[in-house]
Amino acid sequence: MHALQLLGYFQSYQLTWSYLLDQLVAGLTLGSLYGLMAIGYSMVYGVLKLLNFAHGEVFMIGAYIGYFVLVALGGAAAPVVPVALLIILMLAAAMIGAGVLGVAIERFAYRPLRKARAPRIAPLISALGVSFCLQQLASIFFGTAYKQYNPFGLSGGTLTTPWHLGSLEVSWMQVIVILTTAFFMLVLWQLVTRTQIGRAMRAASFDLEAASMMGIDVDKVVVFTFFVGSALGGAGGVMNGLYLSNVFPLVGFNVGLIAFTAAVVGGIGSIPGAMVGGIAIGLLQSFAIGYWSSAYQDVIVFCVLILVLLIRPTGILGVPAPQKV
Amino acid sequence: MKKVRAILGVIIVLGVAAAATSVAVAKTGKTVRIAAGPSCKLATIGVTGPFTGPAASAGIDQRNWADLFISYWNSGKPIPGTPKSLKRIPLVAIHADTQLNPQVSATVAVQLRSNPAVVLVNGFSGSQENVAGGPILRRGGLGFVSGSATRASLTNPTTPDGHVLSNGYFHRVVPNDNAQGSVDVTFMLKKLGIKKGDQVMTVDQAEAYSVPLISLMSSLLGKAGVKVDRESQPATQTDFTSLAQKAVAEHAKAVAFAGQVASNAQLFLQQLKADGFTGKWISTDGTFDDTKFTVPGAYISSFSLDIHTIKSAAPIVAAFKKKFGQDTISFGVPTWVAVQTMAHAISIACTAGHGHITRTSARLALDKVNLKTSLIGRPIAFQKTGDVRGGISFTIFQIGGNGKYTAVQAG
Repeated sequence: MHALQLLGYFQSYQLTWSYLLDQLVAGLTLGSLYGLMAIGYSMVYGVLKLLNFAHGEVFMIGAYIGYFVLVALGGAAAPVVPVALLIILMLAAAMIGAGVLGVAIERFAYRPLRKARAPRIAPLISALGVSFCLQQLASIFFGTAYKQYNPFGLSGGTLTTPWHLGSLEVSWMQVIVILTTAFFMLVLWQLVTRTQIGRAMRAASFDLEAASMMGIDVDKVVVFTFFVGSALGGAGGVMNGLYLSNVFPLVGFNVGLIAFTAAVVGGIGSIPGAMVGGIAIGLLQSFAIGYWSSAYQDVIVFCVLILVLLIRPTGILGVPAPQKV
Repeated sequence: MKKVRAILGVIIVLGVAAAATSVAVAKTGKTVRIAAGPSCKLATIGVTGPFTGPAASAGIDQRNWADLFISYWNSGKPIPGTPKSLKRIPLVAIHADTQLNPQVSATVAVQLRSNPAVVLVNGFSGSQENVAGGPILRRGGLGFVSGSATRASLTNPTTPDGHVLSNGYFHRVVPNDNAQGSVDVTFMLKKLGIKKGDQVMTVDQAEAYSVPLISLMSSLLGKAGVKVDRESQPATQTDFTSLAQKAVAEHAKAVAFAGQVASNAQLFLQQLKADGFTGKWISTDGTFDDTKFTVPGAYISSFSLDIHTIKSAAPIVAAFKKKFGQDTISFGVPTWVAVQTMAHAISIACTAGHGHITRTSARLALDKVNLKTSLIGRPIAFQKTGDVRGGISFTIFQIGGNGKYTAVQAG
């Protein structure tokens, strides 16, 4: 670190452990949100080889559902139930709502095209169409004004006030976001590796047609994949609101673009890869702002990501697709 | 069975679309009968603003002031700056929501341009909206008067924006951002105790409104010997955690923020405070919204005066409260003045045209408007560039413990 200081670029505060850890926690938190959302992209792509661009809007609807539950239960400043229960209810409602929405999107916008063996570009356009429809409908029904979760009012602000552990400064809200993401990741991993439906998902992901011939109900697997991926997107929407407060019709589109990038960089189709990609982008953004300038954050992030893809075209944890001859 | 499902699907989609349309129509309010062409019996003006979207609170305040002015004008009530001798041509307004979105304002501009009855337009509210929609209004021969667009280049004919807009088409009744940047920096240096050698973080939102404004403020602060950390966070990237940590770590004495989303200002300042920031906060008029930005102690500059401090305006403010069931946030007050200049121009054009008016005559008449006084207690007349003659400045407000905005330095 002293060598870096000698270079004359860094300020002395930027070379302290506490500052480094601050940026690390900020990046991990943001990366967890991206990762949770990236999993949805990756799961759907893994099974259907479809880029579900409507996933960002599922995230947005999840965020709105969480907001309406929050308001119905008294708001952040004066909830009528304990805060832990409030957060669980918000997550549950958003996950169910987003999951059902995901299934509906698959049923009405993608399945007919899949059954008709439409060219691959058709579901892609259908996904974009659903994305814009949901954005517009959210604007009409929920209004375009920003809605605020106001997490700084939860528990009198204790959840957002940082506490210290040695050089580490972290808030309970950051802990909640990181641990909740880790929990969902663990549950998903168990689901995919230890259950029958998980095995079916992996089989479908390897070869949809062969899986069907082996007696796997492919439609059921696809519905399940959409439900789980969308539910995680909905949970991401609520956590985004709890951490960053603002919800608006375009919130999913913006986060979705980054999460999609995370899924590709992590290795699209790979669930751990999506999380790794999300965290990588979160950390890059955070360190770019903390150690250089916010004005260059996207330049730095995307230059590094291009470099990663040049070195590993399949992404960090991606594997090359087998060539069928 | 497949056909039944397909028909069912189509019915559901149409049902959702119909419901959405009915909500959208309900939100646009009442319809008005409009003359086929420009008329001196009932003159039609466009009233634009962000009535929905992130700046809806400010936009609705603007619309309310425009509507209040028109009701005063049409009913013959006394209006500051309007002589009794002036023949009032009755006005009817077409409201158009631009959502503070340049693409939407361009669409709105096409609609207004295509409506032959429209003679003048109030707007656009945002500077970037004027850049997008202004040239379209110009092609339709329409003059337009904004009550809130402050970007300096809009009235500077040597810039690309000003070259297109400032030749008699775009007008505004508010000061420009050169004034805002200067007022804000002077306030920081003289009232907030920022001095040579102090560290200040300046943050824009990477869009056309805030970048030049923060560039100017950073430059002025730098000239005063203040150490400036110039940052730029896109409005779509809503996590300010790393920036907040940076501001605290570099011991910034103040953060100056320019943006058009008040909720972002709220989040950034809350994250700063959570990280232990004890310095001062000042943000620009784009964050002026007492429903979304309510952190006590923050300072905000605004082109508008606090109308509550002007005694002569008290009866009109009371009428505003009565008509709309809520108090004004003062943001929309200049819109009253903007519509007033349009009303005067229409009267002047109709008188000169012996009962006939065209878009061109109405637009040219804007330059002949000369209000000896106005609701904000100041005379209003336009320069050739479209700026107001004389000096209107920015007012600095502070947010109180109850979230209420109070003027602490008059403009």
